[in-house]
Amino acid sequence: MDLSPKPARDDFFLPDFCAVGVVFTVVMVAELFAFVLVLAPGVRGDFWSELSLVSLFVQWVALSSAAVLCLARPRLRRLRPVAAATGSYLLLLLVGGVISEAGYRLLHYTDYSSGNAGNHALFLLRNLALCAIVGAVLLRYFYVQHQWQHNVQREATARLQALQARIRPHFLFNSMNTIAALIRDKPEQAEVAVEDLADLFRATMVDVQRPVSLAQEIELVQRYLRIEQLRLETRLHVEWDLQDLPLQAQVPALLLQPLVENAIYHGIEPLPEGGCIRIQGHCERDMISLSVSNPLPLDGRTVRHNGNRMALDNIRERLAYAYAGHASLEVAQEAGQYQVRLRFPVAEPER
Amino acid sequence: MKILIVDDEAPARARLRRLVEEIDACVVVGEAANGREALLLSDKTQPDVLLLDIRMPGMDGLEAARHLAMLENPPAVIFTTAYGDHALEAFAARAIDYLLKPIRKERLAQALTHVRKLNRAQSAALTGIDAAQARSHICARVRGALQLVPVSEILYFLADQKYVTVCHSEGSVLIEEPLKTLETEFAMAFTRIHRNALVAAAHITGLERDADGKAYLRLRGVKERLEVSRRHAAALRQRLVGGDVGL
Repeated sequence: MDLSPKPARDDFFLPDFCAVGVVFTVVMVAELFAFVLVLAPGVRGDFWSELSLVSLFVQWVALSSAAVLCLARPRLRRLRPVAAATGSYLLLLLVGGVISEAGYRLLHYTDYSSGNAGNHALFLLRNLALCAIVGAVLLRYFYVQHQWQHNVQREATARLQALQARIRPHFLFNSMNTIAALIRDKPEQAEVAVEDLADLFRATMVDVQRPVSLAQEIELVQRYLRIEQLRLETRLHVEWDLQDLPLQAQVPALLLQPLVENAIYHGIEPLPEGGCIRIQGHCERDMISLSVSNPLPLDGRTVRHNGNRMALDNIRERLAYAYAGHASLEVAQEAGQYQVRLRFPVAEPER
Repeated sequence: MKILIVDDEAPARARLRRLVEEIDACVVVGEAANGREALLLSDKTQPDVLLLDIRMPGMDGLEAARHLAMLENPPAVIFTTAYGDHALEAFAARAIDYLLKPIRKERLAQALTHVRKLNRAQSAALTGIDAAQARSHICARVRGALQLVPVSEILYFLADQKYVTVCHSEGSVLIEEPLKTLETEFAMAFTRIHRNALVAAAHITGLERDADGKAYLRLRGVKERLEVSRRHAAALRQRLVGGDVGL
């Protein structure tokens, strides 16, 4: 199974028929279809010998179609959707026809006395009709599924953008205020703050769907913390504990930074004396664990839950999208600490 | 004009101080990092105007403004905020000035000249600010000095003829607010046990009866028992059983 983040999913309705998973599905579906054909009333002869013959034939057609579509896919992709659909449909019929013809000749040659191979023309026509119906249904299915995936992806993007629009302003205006304060007294610090702020906004405005390396995400968090440190001064303490992390592994962008931003907004800002944020990370048996914890404010009424839940939902959704159910996000509250923990598989760096 | 700067972020305070000092006839009399500090410092320095940040830890700007407005001779308040406070529209409606950070010098000067005219009417409007939210502190005057008692440390309120005694973990103070309004404001954490007493549910340790069948409440760290009236006994028992209280 493909575990790498796949925001750059290619936008074509036919799946890749060369992929092991897809070939397996094709074999399964073809076999089920063979069962249907043999179980249908009106079929004569011994069930098992009939099934083996029909299976052989159906698998032959199915796998050949898959092979042809796999080879033709790069060319079909370049066509308009209607042309691509027509092209793949004609290819399916062609494969069905050619194999039916070959099958007929083979049966005839081996003198197999099944009634199916009685009339040459009738045999071909029946098979072509079956191919036409099943092919149309399958192509329609691929198209609908592709549309559905497309919508899910669009929705995820939209949510991400909504989240950014929601959380950023608070941080942006506070940072601007800090920079305005630093410009005269500490111009060097102001300069660094502007550079960090620019990098942060670049990261959020450039294609957020594109994965980044873990090292890049950690660096982004460090820049973010440097700005917040200027504003909160001694109220903000940060403890890093990163061990054996595969820094070149690809992760969805903005995975860790929103968690740290939440920790400051909900955990540090409401405390007059401030507190400590702990960022931990380690890797065990190809699973990366990252966690961010912050003190819980004693006075519950100052906590604003909505923004926090929205950010967590967003990250959970993007993890689910990138790692197809192999990632998790857990929240724990104990001993006056609030902790969010992410777990996801190590993905290969993109070439 | 004497000005008190209140903001939890040091760089923000530093910048505001510089801006104020560049404006004629204005002098900064102090800086506070949260609402609590602001009230105590305001009492000590008697400023004409507070530049009050809204989002601050401990006691926020809105609550500080409410406490200030209850003073006899309240200073004027100009709110400052970075972004995202829904209260802003409410301020505009009440003719209370507010400044958006980063604050412009001209805008600050304009607000400062404007603010003295508003002073009286404004403080009346301030008492109603954010009244939907319970205060985090009770403000009292002890021998002329302002004292702030965190609500989380209050054990009970006991009404007398004119005053209400606020008994907290480190002593007691007198305030002039009616028990009825306190009961409404702190309904989440306090429960009525008698015509004259309001008790912090979190501090209740036991409920007992004497030989005559009268009910009494025991509170954490309090020697004397508080009488529970027959009228409030049922509701109290329900709240205790309902797990509202850490018994």
